[in-house]
Formats: sequence, C-alpha cells, structure tokens
Amino acid sequence: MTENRHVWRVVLILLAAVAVWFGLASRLVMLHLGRNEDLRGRVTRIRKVEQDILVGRGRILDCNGNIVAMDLALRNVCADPKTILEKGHLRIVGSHLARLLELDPAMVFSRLDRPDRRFEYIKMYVHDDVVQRIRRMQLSGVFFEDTSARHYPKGELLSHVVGFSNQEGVGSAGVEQRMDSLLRGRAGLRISERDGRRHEVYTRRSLDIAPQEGADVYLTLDQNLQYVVEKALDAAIEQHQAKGAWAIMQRVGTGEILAMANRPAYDPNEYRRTSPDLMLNRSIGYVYEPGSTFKVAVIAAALNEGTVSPETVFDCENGKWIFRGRPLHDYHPYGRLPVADILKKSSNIGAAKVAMTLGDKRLEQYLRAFGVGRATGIELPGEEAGILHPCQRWSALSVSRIAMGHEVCVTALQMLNIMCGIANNGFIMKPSIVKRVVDARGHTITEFEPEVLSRPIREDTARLMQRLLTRTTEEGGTGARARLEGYAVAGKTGTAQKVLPGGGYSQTANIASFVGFLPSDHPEIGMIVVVDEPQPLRTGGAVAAPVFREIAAQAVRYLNVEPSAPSGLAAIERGKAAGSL
Amino acid sequence: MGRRRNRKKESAGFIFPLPLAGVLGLAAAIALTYLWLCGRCETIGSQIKVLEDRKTELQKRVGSEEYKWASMKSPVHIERLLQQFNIHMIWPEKAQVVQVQAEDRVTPPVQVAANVRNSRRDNGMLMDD
Repeated sequence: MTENRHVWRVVLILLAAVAVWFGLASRLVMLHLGRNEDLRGRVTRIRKVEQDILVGRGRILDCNGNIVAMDLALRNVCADPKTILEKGHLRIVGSHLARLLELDPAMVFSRLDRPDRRFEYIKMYVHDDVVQRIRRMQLSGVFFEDTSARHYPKGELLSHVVGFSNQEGVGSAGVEQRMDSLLRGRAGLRISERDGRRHEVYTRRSLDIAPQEGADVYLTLDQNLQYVVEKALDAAIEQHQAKGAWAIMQRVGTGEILAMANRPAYDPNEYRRTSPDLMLNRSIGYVYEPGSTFKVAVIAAALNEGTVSPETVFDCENGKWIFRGRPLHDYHPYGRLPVADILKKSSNIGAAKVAMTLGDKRLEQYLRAFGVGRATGIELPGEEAGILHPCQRWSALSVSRIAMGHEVCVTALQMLNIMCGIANNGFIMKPSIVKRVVDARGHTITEFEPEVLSRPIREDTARLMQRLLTRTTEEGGTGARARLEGYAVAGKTGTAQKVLPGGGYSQTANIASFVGFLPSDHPEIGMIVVVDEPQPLRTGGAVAAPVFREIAAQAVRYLNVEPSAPSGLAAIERGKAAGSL
Repeated sequence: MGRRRNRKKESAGFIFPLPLAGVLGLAAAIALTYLWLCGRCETIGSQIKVLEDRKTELQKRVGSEEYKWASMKSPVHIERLLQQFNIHMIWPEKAQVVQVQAEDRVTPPVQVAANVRNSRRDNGMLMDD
C-alpha cells in the first residue's frame, strides 16, 4: 500500500514536470515558429544598430607637405547642472570651468545654476589639451561630447587660396569649394546588434561598409614664398597707405602658381565673423584696367605681325596728341621714339600709334589669343574673365585707348599670364594651383600636367620682347626700381586711373602695378604686384616695382635660381652704354 | 511453476550501448567545442572593438599633434620665436652665395683627394709617397 502511494507521487511529479516542460517547449516553439511579427520587430529594433560612419575632410597641403587645412578632433564641454547642484559643487565646478575654458564666470554660473536641467553646453570645440586638464580635475557632473571642426593652422596665410568649409563640412570658398567633392570623402555604414549593456556586439555585424576618407590636396604654392609675398604686401600697404594689394608668383615654364596673396586678408578659422568683401580673392576676382602693363601685349602683337620693328620711330607729339578730336597724354613729354623706347619709357601716344598699325581686327585677335576676356581656368572659384568687347563694338577711339590699357579689363592673373607667355617663348600656359590629389591610401588620383592654352606670338618675337622688357628695368626705364643685383629683370610698370562709378576717371585714385619675370636671359619666375590706391606716390614704378624687387630678391635665393649669365648681364650693360638693344 | 528470476544476473546484464555512448560523447564534445568557439569569438570581437576604439582615439591624437606641428612650422610662428629670442636672420648677399655647378657636385671625394695629392706632388710638397 505504502509502495503504491510512493509510485503515484513519483508519477504525479513526473507528470507535472512533463506538463511544465511541455508548456515551456510549446511556448518556445510558438515564439520561434509562430508569426510574432510585432514581437520580433520590437526585439530587432531594440538590438539593431544602424550607424553612419562619418569621415573628416581630406587635408590641404602646400607643395612641401605643410598642412594648411585639416579636420581636428575636438570636444564639446557639457555639464549636468542638476547633479552639480545636488552635490553642492556649483562654486568649485563653475570657477574651474571658467578659468580653464577662459570664459566669463558669470556666464558659466548662469548655465550651471539650473536645477531642472540635466544637460548644458558650457563650451563647444575645445582642444584636447584643455579637455585633459579638465579631466584631471575630476569635476562631478562635467562630461565631454566628441566633435570635429575644420582648422587652418596657418591662420591668415594662404586664406584666399585655401578658402574655408562651413559648419556642415561643405567647402564654401577657395580650394575648399573647388575641390569639395574630392576632399569630402564618403561616409561608411555599419549594421550590427548590441547587447543588454547597449554595447555593440562585434560578432553580430551584418554589414560593415568602410568609410572612404577624403583625399588630400597638394597645392603648387609654397608657404614660405607665400609668407615672403604677404609680408611684402603688408609693408607696401603700410608704406603707401593703400586700400589693398595683391600679388601672384608663377613658374614660367609650367604655369604653376607659387604664391598668391591678397590684402586685406582674413582668418578662415573666423570666417563667420568676416565680411564677404575681405574674402574676395582679388588676384582672380577683381577686374581692373591694367594701364601701361597692357602695352606689352599690343607691342608684342605688332612685332609678331611685322607692322613695326624695335627701331621703327614714332612721333610722340611732345606729350599731347589730339586723336579724332580727343586728347591723348603721356606722363612725360617725348618727341620721336623708337618702339623699343616706347616700351621702355611707357609712352601712351607711341603705343597708340603702334596699335593703329595693326588695325582693330588683328589687335582683337591677338588680345584674345593672349587670353584677354577669357578665364584662365585655374582651379579656384570666382575667377573673372575680364572684359574685351568685340571689335565691332569698338569706337573710333578704342584702338588708341586699348593700346594703353584702357577700355579693357583684366585680372592680375590674366596680366601675369600674358607676361609669362612672353617669357615662355610665346606659349601661354594654363595657371594651376593644384599639384596633385592623393587618396587616403596614398594613391595619386590626379596630378598636375602643364597645359598650353595658346601661342599668340612666335619664339623670335618672344625673345625680342624679353630683351625689350629687360630695358624697362634699366636706368631711364620706368621699372628701374625692380632691378635686382646679379639678375636681369624684365618687366613693365602700370599706373591706371580708376574708373569712377558715374563714369570718367579719378584724378586721385589709381592702381599701380608691376608685372615681370626673371632672370630675363633664362626666365624661371614671373610675378605681378598690384597696389590699390597708393598715396602719395602713385605710379607703378615707384610703388609696385620696389615690392617686386623685394619679393624677387628672396624668391631667387629660396628657389635657388641661377643668376643671369655674366655674358647676358654684360650684353645688357653694353646695350645700356650704347643706348640701344 | 515457472523459472525463478535471477535478479543479480539481470542487473549485471544492462550495458549502455557503446555506439550510442560514442555518439553522445561526440555530440557533447562538438557542443563544448562550439561553446568554446563562441566564447572565443566573443572575446576576440571585444578585443577588436577595443582596438578599433583605440585606433580612432590614436587617429584623433595624430590629428591633434599634426595640427600643433603645422602651427609650429608656420613662418609667422617661427618669426615670432626668432624675435622672442632676439635672433635676427637675413638672406645672404649675392657675394656670399656659392653656386655649385652640376659637374662639381658629381666629383667623388676620393677623386678630389687624389687631385690634391697629385697637385702637391707636382709642386714638390709631397715627397714620401
């Protein structure tokens, strides 16, 4: 009897256990095999992690690999005011944060003294050094948020060329804008699951598309040359109380830009507080009547066509010539001058008469071949094309005015390109500012290749022009102040009156410029210096030529440019003594 | 009268089938291996995650150091430091610059030494050669 009772108990317990296990198993089967869409979705949503992996923009570097723009990992300093107040640490935390973050203590205390808040930004975009100092203090209720921002370690240096990218990481000026698609890179994607502690489980990664980091852009510019140029422009602005100044240095044979500077400048790190006017890259975005520097193109065209030779003599009318009822003046009065001296002494009347030997149509053709009225295509946004009307729209006076650089507008880069074309035996090169683009793996995506835009004049004409332009910097030439010991310098001065908004020319405001190349016997670098509204000296020879010389003196040493051959200099000296070519 | 059951012989006669034991043992071994591999994968996964985080952190630090280095190398900064330490630097004058021609540069030092010795010998300065 007792034995039977035991057996029944065991049987009942077993049955109960089987029933429980069966119930659990059934539920399990139903959960796994049944159609529990809501439940499945809820679990998946809780566990699933879908994360965009953001990458920073690529860097911008100068030709020697010096970084001029980069993304920098920073942190936002945040606080939990409720915790800080509950612990009674308001005074300590507030004073330390204000001191370390260099903030107004009253502002910090006002942000922390909010018992109902659990999150407050104290300061955004804080450098890691400062964050480490705050961390070491172990302030309760203070924490950090990862972020990044575009930084320009050189500040104002190269600002107009590099430009800036906005808070959304979109290039908004300069190389940042033009090369945006390459600099930006591509975000990655990661789909995975997380555990109960909300940590990602590596083994549950179902998709992992690696981000494609932005490419690095190497410029043709050299930060040291850029600094030399910018410093010289600063000095020129101070000395001549000028409104602005800009300069470009170009490698003659290839068209690579070595320096491009503008004054006034701005700090791209502070672009939000900068007026748009300061951001204008005047070297390519400001058109002006070039004045006498333009005579170079006109005389080169006439020599190339054979309508004149360097010895052809023109009457310069003692400084005043009435042409079609309107007077044309020279800065200094001259009588009869050969073409070589028209260029050396920069006679407007002489240049006008030379241009008339070409005629309107041929003159226009040559000017267009020199690149006037057409953007050069440099890798920078906002380049102006300049103004050159078709000859059908020219007035009867136009040919005489264009010859002296009026009724035509160019950018400094266009003017420099004309001069470098003459230095380069007639080949006009496409100016370039990007040397190469390298992806994150170190593979070169694009590399600079010299490109010929046009060849308006023959080699013999170009060589003749090189010799004629060297005379401009000799004694008696308008560009004598650009002369450099040991180097034969070729160039041309320009002093253009500014156009008044209502029409006519200003008697007080003008643009002084000097464009040239050196050494003239084996040209390597070309340069233009433009000074806007200098006072009281106003001519290109007095204002811009000395700046050219100052920059050139340092550039030839830095670039290790060989001095002019003694024979070349001697020939120039002999030519000087004889008063001829 | 039936035969009496020999209980002793009966209990001693139950033997767990060897193939089944083998299969169960194998299954257990596979299960344990699977569990061990799972655990190992989890551990390696965690380590990879830690290394990934470390890599990200190091990349940030590299960026930060690059930024500092770029700032320090900027011409403005260098000039400020030169002024701070009262160092005045100027470019050399033209007369101070020695231009080395390409043909001079390729002359090996041994050849230069031999030339000097030869010239000394010619001048009677080197007697004991």
